[in-house]
Amino acid sequence: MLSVIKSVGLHTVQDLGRTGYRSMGVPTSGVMDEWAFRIANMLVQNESHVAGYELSSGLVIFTSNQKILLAVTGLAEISIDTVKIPAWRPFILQANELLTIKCLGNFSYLAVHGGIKVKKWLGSASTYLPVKNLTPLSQGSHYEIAESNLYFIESFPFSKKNPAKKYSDWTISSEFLTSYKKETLRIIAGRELNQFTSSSIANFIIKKYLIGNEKNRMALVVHQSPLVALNSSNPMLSVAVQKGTIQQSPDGTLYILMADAQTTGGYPRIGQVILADIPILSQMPVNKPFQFEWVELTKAMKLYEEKLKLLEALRQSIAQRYLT
Amino acid sequence: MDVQIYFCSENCLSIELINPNAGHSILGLKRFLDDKVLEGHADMVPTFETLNIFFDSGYAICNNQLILTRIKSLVSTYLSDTSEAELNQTPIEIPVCYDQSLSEDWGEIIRLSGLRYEDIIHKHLSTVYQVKMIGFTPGFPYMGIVDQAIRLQRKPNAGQKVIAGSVGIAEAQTGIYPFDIYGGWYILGRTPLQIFVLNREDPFLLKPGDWVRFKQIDLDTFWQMKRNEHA
Repeated sequence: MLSVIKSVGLHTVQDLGRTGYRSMGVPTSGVMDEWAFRIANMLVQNESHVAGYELSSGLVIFTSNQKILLAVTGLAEISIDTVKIPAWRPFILQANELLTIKCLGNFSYLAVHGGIKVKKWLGSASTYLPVKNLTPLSQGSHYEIAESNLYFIESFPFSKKNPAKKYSDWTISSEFLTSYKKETLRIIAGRELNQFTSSSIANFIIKKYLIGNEKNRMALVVHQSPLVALNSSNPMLSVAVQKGTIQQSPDGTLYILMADAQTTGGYPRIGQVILADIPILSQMPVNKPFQFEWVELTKAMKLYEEKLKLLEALRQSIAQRYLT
Repeated sequence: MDVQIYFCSENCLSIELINPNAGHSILGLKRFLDDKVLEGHADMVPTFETLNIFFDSGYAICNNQLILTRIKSLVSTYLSDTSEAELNQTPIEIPVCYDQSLSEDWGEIIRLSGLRYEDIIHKHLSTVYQVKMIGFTPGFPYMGIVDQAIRLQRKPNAGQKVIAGSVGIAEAQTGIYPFDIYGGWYILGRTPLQIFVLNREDPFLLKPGDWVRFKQIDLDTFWQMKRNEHA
């Protein structure tokens, strides 16, 4: 069992999200940064859908009454008692040790080998705070380990030279890590982009933007959009929106919808952040200027396919590490 | 009629039906597609003029042409069948108490509509509504079409907390708030029914396509029903 000793900030249980209930107005929820989450699960040899913890800025201190295999991904400072543990590597937490994780980026992910036992709602363990299906992590929260395969955990030392070493010698290739440094988000043109003047659309792509401080799991906010509406008196019917949809409200604010986004919206859709770049967007620091770049849908699909191939290669190489 | 079929993102296909012929609608199309096998399909979201079909992302990017061809052919089959009529579904009766003690908006509703309290209630009760879509928040039904005389724009700001069960109007739509949440629709009254219950086997009382008839109840009945509902 994993117990929370201290929790500062908003940290929730998430998985890859809830599908099949959008028509009932239920957001997909799920992790903000899908790559970091998937990699965390790979590092502890979980299936990709297994629920884990999404940590946002702040810290959590855990303890466990049993030996468990864990991994943290994202920008984080990790320690077990006084020993520093690097992120993006599997590590062992022994019973009664204290694990401290400080999330230094927007989101970090903690995966537990075997997964944690939490009540699913509509087929998913993702926390959606407005309906309170699960509560955020707080002092005293307990999580049973679902299917910890003790034999598996005991069967390998991380370092053959130093059996006491808590974490692996190996980590993942840096390809995923460097992609977070990108300063351009690629987007597909939105259906209602034609509701804005062409000169302002030309400006839109030149300008640099910052993510506003008022961000949450529902949406990121970008102020000062240069887009000028052609005919603002024309009311719009609600349309479907999804993670990555960029909408402009009448006061000129851009809302980039994220994991907990509502399923429908009534603001014009400027664009759609491509699937391959949504994890980068989710980790974009508030003080980092970025730009938008238009891409064609076919290109967006190709880029996502490449990402999936990279992930699959990564999954195989990690599995290989566990075999040798 | 204008039909557009296109991918609006890597994993979402949109079907727009603008001014469809009689007998065809977004909800009719959804019902038609519900029975069909669509490989990789995850979710279908009807809105007023668009049906959005979400696919598993990995499947969609590898099979987008296949999906497009299949959907185009299905949509054309649907549209070529002119016998397709709305199902004669019995409306779900929703009791509503319009007592002024349940809404602070009545003064403003009377002023904006220029109608009397009784007439507004009468107009709201006179229509059998269809759930056109569910959105904004889990279980929030957008129902239409509201009588022209009582159509009001949304409030200038949505900063007011609305109590679960509140029945509101905005433009040509009427809706019910599934739980306590901030909202900007003018509130006419409240239903004692719980239209959303997190841990009920089916959390949602209403689905897209359902028909709804409101029935007026007095304040005593409202509180009585509310006690029973939560018992």
